[in-house]
Amino acid sequence: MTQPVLLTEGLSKAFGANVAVAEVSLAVREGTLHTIIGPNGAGKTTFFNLLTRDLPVSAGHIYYRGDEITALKPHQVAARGVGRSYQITSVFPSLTVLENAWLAAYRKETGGRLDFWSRPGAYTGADDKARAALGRVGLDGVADRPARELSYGDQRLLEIAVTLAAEPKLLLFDEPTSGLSADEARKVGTLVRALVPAYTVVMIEHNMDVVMAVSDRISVMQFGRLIADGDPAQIRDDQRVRDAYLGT
Amino acid sequence: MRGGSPFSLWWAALLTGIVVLPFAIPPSMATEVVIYGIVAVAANLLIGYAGLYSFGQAAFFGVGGYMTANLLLHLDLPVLPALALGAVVSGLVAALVGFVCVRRTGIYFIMLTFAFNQMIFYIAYQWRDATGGEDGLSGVPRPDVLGVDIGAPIAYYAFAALVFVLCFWAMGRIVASPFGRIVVATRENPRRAASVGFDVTRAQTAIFAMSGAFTGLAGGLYAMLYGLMPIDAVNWINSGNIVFMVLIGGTGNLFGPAAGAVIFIILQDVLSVVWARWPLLFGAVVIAVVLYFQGGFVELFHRLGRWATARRKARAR
Repeated sequence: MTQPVLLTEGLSKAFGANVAVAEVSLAVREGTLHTIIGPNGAGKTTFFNLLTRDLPVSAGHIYYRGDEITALKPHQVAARGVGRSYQITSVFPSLTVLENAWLAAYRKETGGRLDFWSRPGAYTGADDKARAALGRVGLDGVADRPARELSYGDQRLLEIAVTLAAEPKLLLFDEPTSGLSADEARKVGTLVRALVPAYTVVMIEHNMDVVMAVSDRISVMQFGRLIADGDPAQIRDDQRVRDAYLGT
Repeated sequence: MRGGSPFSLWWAALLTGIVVLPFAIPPSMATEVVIYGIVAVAANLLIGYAGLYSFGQAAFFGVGGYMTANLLLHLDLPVLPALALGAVVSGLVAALVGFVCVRRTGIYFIMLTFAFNQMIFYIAYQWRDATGGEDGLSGVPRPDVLGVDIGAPIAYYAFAALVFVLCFWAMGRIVASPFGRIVVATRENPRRAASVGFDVTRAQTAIFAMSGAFTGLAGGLYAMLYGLMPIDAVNWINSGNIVFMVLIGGTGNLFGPAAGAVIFIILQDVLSVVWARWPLLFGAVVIAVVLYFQGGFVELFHRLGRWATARRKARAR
């Protein structure tokens, strides 16, 4: 068996007496689309926040390609090749669509160099990468508009494009379809599916149509714990999952 | 440029203003305007671009001023190296202060910058050998610059204005650079900037240091203006005045704060003669700006432009 891209061992997070994530051990295999589902408040987003170090870890370990990354800072995790999108749309509103993606590509090209003298246009490689990422989500037509002028759905897509422009190896998508219409959600589902196996994707998602259609593997969380793990067919038939989540 | 109007138009207005200024007001006052122009524009690197409300800019003005003054007084250094060293040292001090302050946000950040300002003020107050303490550091000479005599008020204005234009141009490059874009990103969404892979603390410390260096350079120019570096220049009140200039002028681009410096210095001069309680009026102006003209003077300009266009159209109909 090959080494997992991402591995957590007994990962836990407590806010005072409230345990949000409890001893989650999860392995994500290279080139797969791994979805995490669970009821609201199950600890899914908190789990992501631990992976990207947006929150400090209470206990347990995180390994990325065999290296422990539990103690790194958020920008260091990103520099290793872990990209993330947020559940709440999180773009730079006053910058243009292209500038949003360009920043991520520039970071990838230069390692985040604080070049305070050149023109951004001098970094043609970053420009190309940014435009390619926008093309991938179909936003190349609005590249020069400020991000704040985009519709909600397009901002969600920009969020994905920014994540892609940094050319990460592992993508963490937090509810990429939240707030989208059924049509838009299907589009995003297809888009995310097309990223595999070039990228490894871990996705938190509530839209069960999307989850069942695109996932290679599904993990189910409840009350901060991992209660099931398997391929879509196994999860569909798992009694604990039905009781806890699917409600059927 | 986030101004709305064409970039070249702004530059034309700026350069025209610089030429006209010493004929409209006394040269020494005009010099004060361009010196505080550098300070206000540098403060807007933090306030407008980085979203960091520094209430400690006077400290860096003071560090640069005392440094340059001492180098001229005691080491007989030529003007340009003295100014450059003043800028470097105040930039280093700002890097240290910034490194600590950017670890906190919002009101805590403001209080930290304020506390550092007070700290540096009391060091200046106590360290009489280097600063002259309460009396200020006097007798600062104004030697020739590369063989050119800048002794006359108008000549010194020309020199200070030239430094202003160079600083303004340099700061324009900085905000238009990749680094400038990163700084705006850290203001708009620090968490996202970090998840994209930027070290937010490092970028903020860097812009803080740059702002401090330009402010220190202006401090050196100020010490040479009256041959005196007064302790008041390091006072927190001066930090407040600097924030006033930025807010009055507008934070949206670099031109606004330059206009803010003109307005502030001239009003201060006019009002302080008329009425000893003039800072009260300033308070009223700032309240009006914050409530109704968040874009500052620049915004007022835009609104007048739109109003004039609308009127012209209405009359044509």
